[in-house]
Amino acid sequence: MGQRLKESTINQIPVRNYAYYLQANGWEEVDTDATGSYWNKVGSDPGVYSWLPSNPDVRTFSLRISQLVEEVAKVEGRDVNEVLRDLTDLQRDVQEVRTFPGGKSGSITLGQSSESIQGLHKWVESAAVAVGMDEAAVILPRRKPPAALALLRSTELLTPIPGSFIWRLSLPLGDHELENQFPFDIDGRFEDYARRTTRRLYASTRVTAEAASESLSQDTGVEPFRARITEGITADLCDALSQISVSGATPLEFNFRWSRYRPVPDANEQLALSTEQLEVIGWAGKELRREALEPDVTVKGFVVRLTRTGPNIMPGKITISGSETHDPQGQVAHYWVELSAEDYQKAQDAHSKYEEVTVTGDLRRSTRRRELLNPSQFHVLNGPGTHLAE
Amino acid sequence: MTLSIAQHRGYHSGLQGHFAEQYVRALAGATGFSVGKRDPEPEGIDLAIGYTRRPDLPWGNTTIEVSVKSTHTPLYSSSGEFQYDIKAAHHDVLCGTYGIDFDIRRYLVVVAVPPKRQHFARMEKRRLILSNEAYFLDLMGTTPVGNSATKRRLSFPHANLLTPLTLAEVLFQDAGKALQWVSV
Repeated sequence: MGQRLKESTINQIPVRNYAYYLQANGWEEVDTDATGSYWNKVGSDPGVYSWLPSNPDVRTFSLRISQLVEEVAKVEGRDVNEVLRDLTDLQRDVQEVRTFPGGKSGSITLGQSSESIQGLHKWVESAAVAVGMDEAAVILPRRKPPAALALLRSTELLTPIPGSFIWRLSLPLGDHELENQFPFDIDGRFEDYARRTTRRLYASTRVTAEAASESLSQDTGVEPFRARITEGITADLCDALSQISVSGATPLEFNFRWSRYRPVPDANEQLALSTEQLEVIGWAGKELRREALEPDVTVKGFVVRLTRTGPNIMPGKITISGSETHDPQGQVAHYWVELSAEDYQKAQDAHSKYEEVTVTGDLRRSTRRRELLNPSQFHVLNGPGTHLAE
Repeated sequence: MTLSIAQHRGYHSGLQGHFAEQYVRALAGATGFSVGKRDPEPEGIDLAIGYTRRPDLPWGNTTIEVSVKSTHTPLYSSSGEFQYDIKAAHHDVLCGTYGIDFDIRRYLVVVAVPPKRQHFARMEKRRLILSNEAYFLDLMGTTPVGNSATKRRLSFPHANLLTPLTLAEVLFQDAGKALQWVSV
């Protein structure tokens, strides 16, 4: 026995979505009347019609919609809630990320969920930041483009659904129907930021899966990942995927459900990552990060070592024991920096007075050490007269 | 177990209402219309009757909804018109405006049935007789009873006797089309 749907549920669904849903799901409008239209699912009993009311101001509108949704679910062999979800999601992109955390369907442990959500945030962030950059980069900059930050703030985590545990993200789309406005927009340059981000998510996740498969099957290590950096692979993306899977503890499946109003015909493949692939992806992310220069990293700490082999007009190398300022809670480590003679002198003074210093540069991580290249803005904190001694 | 008088009346009333619905179903089915219940059911509505598009006729789908009432003590006016005392709430649910209050036209059908269940249906030689008769009424656009009374007496013109032809006329809103349909 069907239940009458809540007014609040129906109010969330734009009226045009009903006809759009029916058209998109193989229904045919057979007749129209002054107050609505008759629809039949192609291939179903030709004598069975569903009624779609046309005017939401008529008092029976919500009742008719309840009847329609009930009938559509029955004809399509689906759950009423699934049909409702599709009706609501028609005007937005939804990314479903399915995890298999064990336990009963629709359930996930608190620890796993917390880890997965952080991974999901990084996953979206990796694409949103990459879209805002002009060139491909292995490590995305710490300073995020404002458009990327705005998008992250407006990205929604929708109600998860069982089977086993499916996260659902929604990136808000502009309300324009792009295809009609820019029919020549073949490569998506005129898409809004959210759609470009979602497309980037799809493409980069797909090539990461390919790289992982290749690395596993041909035992080529990180090279397949490196070769696809221009296609969108970043260390940040690898880290994010690994984290969503709780370090490879669960395989992942990605289902990109594009807004029906702005379909993306060439990106509807379901993507899947096995635990083996995710293990390689996690490892590759760390390797890429080690190899790469991370631009504009500021380190704060104490000078613990000074080395200069020539006279005092020559540059010298120092070691700072400290941490990166964007991550104050991060691990304390030793950073090697080569300073000009002038800055080296300041470093000597700071060392003798046990004062903190900061310096900004491009960070290179290797298995043995962390090195800040192209240093600038070397400052001594708490120094005499000013806290920033140029 | 012996039923009390009240229990017996309730039991009979249920049977009577059920039979009245089947009476309308049989008549609509015999006229070639689809008939059924919608889920969830609109308040005060018992059946949806529809003409389903046929490939050989240029007519579109059409649907009406009916509220089916029954009585085993039919009233008739001095001029012989069938009359029925309808409860205010049952009346008012049918008297809204098409296109504002509801999007599918609504009608009242009252079936006058024999007092005894044994007489609801009778088999004659190659003929099933369903007793006795039904009338329809269009209350759309009429004034609701509201709180002014608990009941309203309705009169049904003789022409509103429910037959295959009158049912087709109600559904199609077109006497010519109805005549053509019942003779197809």
